[in-house]
Amino acid sequence: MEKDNEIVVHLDHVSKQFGGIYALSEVDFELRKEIHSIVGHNGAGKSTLVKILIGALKPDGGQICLHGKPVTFFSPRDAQNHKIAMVWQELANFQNLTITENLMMHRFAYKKSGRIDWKESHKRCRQYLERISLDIEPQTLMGDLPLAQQQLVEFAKALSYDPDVLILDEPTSALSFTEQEILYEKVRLIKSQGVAVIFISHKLEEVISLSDRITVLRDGKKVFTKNASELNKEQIVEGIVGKAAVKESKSADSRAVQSKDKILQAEELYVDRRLNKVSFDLQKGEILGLTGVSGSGITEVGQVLFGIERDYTGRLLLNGTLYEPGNPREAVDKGLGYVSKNRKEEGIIPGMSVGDNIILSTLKKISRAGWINRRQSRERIESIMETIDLKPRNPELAIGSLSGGNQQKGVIARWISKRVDVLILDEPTRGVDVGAIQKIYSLIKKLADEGISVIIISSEFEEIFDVCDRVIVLNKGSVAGEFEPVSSNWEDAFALAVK
Amino acid sequence: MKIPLMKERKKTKQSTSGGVIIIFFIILVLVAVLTGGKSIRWSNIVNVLMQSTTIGLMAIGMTLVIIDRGIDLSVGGVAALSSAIGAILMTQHNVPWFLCILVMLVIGALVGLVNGMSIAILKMPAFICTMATLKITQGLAHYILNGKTIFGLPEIHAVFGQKNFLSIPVSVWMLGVFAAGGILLLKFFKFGRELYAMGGNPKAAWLSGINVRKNRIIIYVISGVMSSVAALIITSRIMCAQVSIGEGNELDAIASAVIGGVSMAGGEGGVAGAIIGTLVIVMINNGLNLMGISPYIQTAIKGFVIFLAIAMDVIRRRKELAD
Repeated sequence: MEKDNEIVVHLDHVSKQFGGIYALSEVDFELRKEIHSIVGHNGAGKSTLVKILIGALKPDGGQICLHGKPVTFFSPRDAQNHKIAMVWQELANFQNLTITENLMMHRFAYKKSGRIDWKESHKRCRQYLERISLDIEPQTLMGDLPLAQQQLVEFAKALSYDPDVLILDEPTSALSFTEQEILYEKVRLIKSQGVAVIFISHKLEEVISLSDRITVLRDGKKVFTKNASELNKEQIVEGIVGKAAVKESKSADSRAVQSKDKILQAEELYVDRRLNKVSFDLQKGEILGLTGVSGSGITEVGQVLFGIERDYTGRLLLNGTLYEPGNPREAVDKGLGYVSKNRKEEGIIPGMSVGDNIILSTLKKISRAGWINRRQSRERIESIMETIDLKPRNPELAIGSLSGGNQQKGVIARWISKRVDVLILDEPTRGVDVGAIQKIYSLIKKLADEGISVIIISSEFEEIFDVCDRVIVLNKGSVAGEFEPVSSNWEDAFALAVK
Repeated sequence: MKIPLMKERKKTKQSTSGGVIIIFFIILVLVAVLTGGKSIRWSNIVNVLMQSTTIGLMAIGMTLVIIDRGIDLSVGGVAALSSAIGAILMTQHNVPWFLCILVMLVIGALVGLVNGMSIAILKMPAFICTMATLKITQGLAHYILNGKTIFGLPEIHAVFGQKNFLSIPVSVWMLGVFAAGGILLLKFFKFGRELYAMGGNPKAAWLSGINVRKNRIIIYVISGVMSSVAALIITSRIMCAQVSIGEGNELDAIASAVIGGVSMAGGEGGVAGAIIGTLVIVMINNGLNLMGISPYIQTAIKGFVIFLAIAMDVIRRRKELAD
């Protein structure tokens, strides 16, 4: 039994800074043969810590010790050789290949002639699957498996390298509740085989029931490591958000929402596995926040509203009349605008100029028989660049060469130019440099003052409480609560979001 | 705090790049020197321009298609089918000439419509879809002509390929007009802006409310019609229709566009570059002919120049990326 208490990994006062800011500051972290959860808010240092453990980042200070011996990882491969394995949040498998091919890629069994010995390869693969009691035919195509089973196959793959340490990064965020139960069972099984497991998750209930110990990080520092049995959820939330700060008076900059006219109503939106009867309404000139942790369904709400996700049930009303967007174009025609959280893939047209990016959705308005009115176009672009203070003030530059913050302004400007009634912004400050975040938010406030109704979808609780008139919290696809930031704390919202 | 590195800010690449103009002049001078000046006599210049018209017209359509990350392999087949049906109608069915012309253009539009709808709505891969329609149109043309050459087109049909207007061939005027149309369409029309957006980032274009489907169908229709216009000029020049019309034209059209700076990755380049690209290809052909070089090696030389042009382009791009 004594061996169970052996310290497998010890991060001895490890620090890491980026541009002068500590992402991790003297964190002392011990991993035994246990299930050890790491929890924390966005930017608390979880991913930095994990990246140091798997050799993707080098610490600036401190020491990594494996089985009591100091080691240095120069690359993820080094860490792998030291038997540290990780299952990523995003699956990285080959959908078009069989399970055997996925698992055995670099180590097929070969016949003497040099041909792959499929029978033997399948047999070995089955053995790996059986280690976590998975009963799937190794010849099955990966893409034919449901997501949960693919996730488990990834576990089997990671385990097949006989790791001492297995890191699981939010493995349940895409799974249904029954699938999650199966996954927990497997995690316990893995632990019973003598593997030390690091579990990263936002879902505090699962963290408490699954873990042996829990480490809480905040702002790059370790708050505490405690036995899960001694903790309750409130204590963890307090650890994550800090002692409830004294509420600053917000009356000074609180905005009065112009009217109580409902512009958009959502009734019982339901998307299989993602959203469960979400209802809310949006008033004219209001900034409404939709917040939750990853997998809460906030992104899906935006996709339903903008006609991207069409496989939903429920009812949408726009200015009191039925609204059923079949695609983004119909949503745009009805006066909606949407800024995706994936700016590079779904927002900017990187090779086009800033001006063309801004004017893209307004071309119809400024052209006659398809011929663009150049003067009108130029004037509109110039005045918008002035309003949003986009730098450098040159509409000819390719937008892909600007900073993240200015790219984001450019994408928002596309909808300002279109003069939309409802603007949906998914994670508007993601990938935006710290200095530009406030500028984005003051721009949003300015738009709302001009009568545009804004929905901000974000998992940055603190930011969203700063800027929104009203905040709705989603948890596991359902509305968990509604807050008025003037009279409440983001910490309470966070507690609801992780409940 | 570390000061973030200033990224070099770049202009967009929708106008003709300098690269193709440099290549153009290199080839121009090289050919002139090697042919002892024969290539730059007025009569030969007119000849080169006339020879450029058919590929040039196809390259205009091809440019639009490639900007949208697509490809149209059916252009040669469309020219063959238009020629065959047009010639049959003119010579054997007593159909009024202008109606025959109209039918030829409609054939191009129809094949383009089939291409466009299959690619935009059924989401067929452009390469496979247009390869199939190339075979269909080419095969139909062969069947209609039954291996024969059809002579006896009406006198008036000579207007496209053999007559001059203000001492410049009508076909060159036609190329000029359509090229100007293409340049204007891309630069000054809503359609052009949307096309670059679709090629630059299809998902973002869709999310901006652009009617991606409609625009995509339109470009394939334009490409088909351009091929039919090319067919008018070819049949007019030789005053007959034969099975070899259009053969291999798709590759010359694609090469013209790519030499002219139209990126196969989409969202870059323009019509002017593609026309200059066509001139480069035709000048090489013409120069080799003037020098009396065996036609058997000419294809290989042409291939080599295309290879060089694209290599230069790729290296230039990589440098820009590295900056």
